[in-house]
Amino acid sequence: MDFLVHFMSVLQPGVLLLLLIGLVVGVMIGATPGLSSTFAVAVMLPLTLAMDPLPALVFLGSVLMGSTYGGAFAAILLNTPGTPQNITTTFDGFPMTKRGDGDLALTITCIVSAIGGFVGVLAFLSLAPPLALVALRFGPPEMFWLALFGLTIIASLSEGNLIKGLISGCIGLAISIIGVAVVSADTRFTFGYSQLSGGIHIIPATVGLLCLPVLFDMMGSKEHHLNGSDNGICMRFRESCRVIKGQLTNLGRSSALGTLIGILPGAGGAIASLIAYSAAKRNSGTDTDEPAYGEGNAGGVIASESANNATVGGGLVPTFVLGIPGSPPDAVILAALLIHGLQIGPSLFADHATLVFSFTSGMMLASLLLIPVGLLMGRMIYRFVLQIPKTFLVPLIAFVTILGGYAIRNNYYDVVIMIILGAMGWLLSRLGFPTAPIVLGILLGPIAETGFSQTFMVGSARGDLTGAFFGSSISMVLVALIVLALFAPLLKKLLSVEGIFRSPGAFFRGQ
Amino acid sequence: MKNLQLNGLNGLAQRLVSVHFISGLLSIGIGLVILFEARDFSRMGSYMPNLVGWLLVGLGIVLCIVHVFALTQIADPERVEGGIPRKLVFIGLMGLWVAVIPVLGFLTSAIIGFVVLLFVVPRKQWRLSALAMEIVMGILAIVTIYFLSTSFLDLAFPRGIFI
Repeated sequence: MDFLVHFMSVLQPGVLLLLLIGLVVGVMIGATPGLSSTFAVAVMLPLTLAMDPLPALVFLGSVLMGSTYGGAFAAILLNTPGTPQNITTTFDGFPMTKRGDGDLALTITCIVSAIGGFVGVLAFLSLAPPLALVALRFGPPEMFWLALFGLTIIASLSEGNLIKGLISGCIGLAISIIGVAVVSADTRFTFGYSQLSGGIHIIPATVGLLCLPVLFDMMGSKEHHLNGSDNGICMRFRESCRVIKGQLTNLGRSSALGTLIGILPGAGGAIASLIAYSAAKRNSGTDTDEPAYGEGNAGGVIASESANNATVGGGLVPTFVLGIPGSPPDAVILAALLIHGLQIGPSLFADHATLVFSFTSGMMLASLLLIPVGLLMGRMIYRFVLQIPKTFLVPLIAFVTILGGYAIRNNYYDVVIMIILGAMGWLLSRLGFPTAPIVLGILLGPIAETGFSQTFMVGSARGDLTGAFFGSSISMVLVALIVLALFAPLLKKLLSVEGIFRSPGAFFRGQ
Repeated sequence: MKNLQLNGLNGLAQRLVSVHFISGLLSIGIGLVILFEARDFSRMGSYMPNLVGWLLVGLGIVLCIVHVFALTQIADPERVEGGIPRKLVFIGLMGLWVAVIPVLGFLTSAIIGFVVLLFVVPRKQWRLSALAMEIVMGILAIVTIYFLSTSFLDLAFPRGIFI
């Protein structure tokens, strides 16, 4: 009954309108390559200063939810992740678009984003205090192992060319080292250029390595850049529901993983979508009718997008309960809470229960409204990208990537780095190196190194390195998962008829 | 027998100049540069570079050996349509576009860059009316996005001689 009262408070016309505006603005900002969810929420924060706490929080929450979803547009249609959370969406979303299923991918994304978002908020509503305690148990060693677990996906992304995939991952790790080291303060690989001291940001690196090579290759032919569906421009809603129905386990697992990883401070949607994608790929069946993961399997899009939207609700858990933001956009929401004079902590749920639960109701409503808003906007954007001539689209994407590369930190050198990495990515892809593992290396390298260094220092001080790295039960579970991820394919091969002893070459190809 | 040996030598020579062998050498080269640079870092700061450096050297050697001794067939790079010169010109023009931003200003360089790229993108037929329309629409789109970004999102873009 109480929940209904809270829900009704969100249905006031003013709050409802703000919620809708927040979703639309969020989707638009998220869809622009380079403009992240953090940027979207931060830029909208000043607008909420004059509002009451509930409309302000609902507005910011819907902007966050919209921008997390909006990043998928560019990822699916242009191979350009709008935000880092959408990197894994490009792996299958863009191949789907290339074969003429872009509309299907967009609709699936919209539905699973709404479901993932709903699951995350539901977890926040029902399990916030106990889940926050789990977050507190994640220290540097656990983050180190989590990052390593994320890196194991490189092996599965490089099927057919394992060695080159691993080299790509190492190149990514090498790029992530550039700049001043977090722990030791060494200035590494800047070669005298002070502009590199701050390191290479993930957004220009991602746009450079994933989008620009596609743009360069679009110069190769006069043919139209994308194929549309045979049935004109529609959103293939029923077909999408059918596909999702066949992937319910994947959807449930990815939403749960997204919620859990969203709770961990510092992990965020990018790691969540990566781990969920990896899990989906490893648990995929051997249906020969479906395209493989990485070649346009809808399961990859479902895993990635449901997980990253579930982190929205998950991230609110430590933010509201502990005052520790789960991700950078949550820090902005935390700032909004503080601006409105709310005391953060477990007492928030008792002292301001109406506000917390009304906000949660608003977030649930936002995730439901994401379906009509997302479908409508998706249809418009898809129509635009499909019908626009390539001769016009290529220079326009070039402009948007330059704008996005600059906007993320207002830094001209980010654009220079983006172009250099774009040329490097194109050259490496010509040599047969996959570029996705490079991006993963850049994303996970700093997390792994910081976790390793901090654990090493703590272990050295205590005189118990083994205990520091392997002491906790969470660490052991993660180590077991890493071992399983690395050796499961090998074990499968050993047990199969075409085992490694019969075909050692296949092992090196990762097949 | 002699022919077989010659064929074997030719095959080896081909493999030594192939894309995979060059890739292996590239990996070894990058790894060595990283290891060389990492000598000057502190103990804590050199763990990761040393690890990555040795991994690159090791994987590069494995790639070369696997390829030269034909232990396995490594998948060749995916073929893409179109000639390389046009793509290199495009990359060069994008680089030039970015290089002139601090001189001309963000908006001016964007308009010039956009118009120049319109002439480089391959098209089925050159129609003046279509080209003129694309130029006008492109400039309108760029100016709109620029002013939306500066007015509503408070982004500050670099200025040069112009905006």
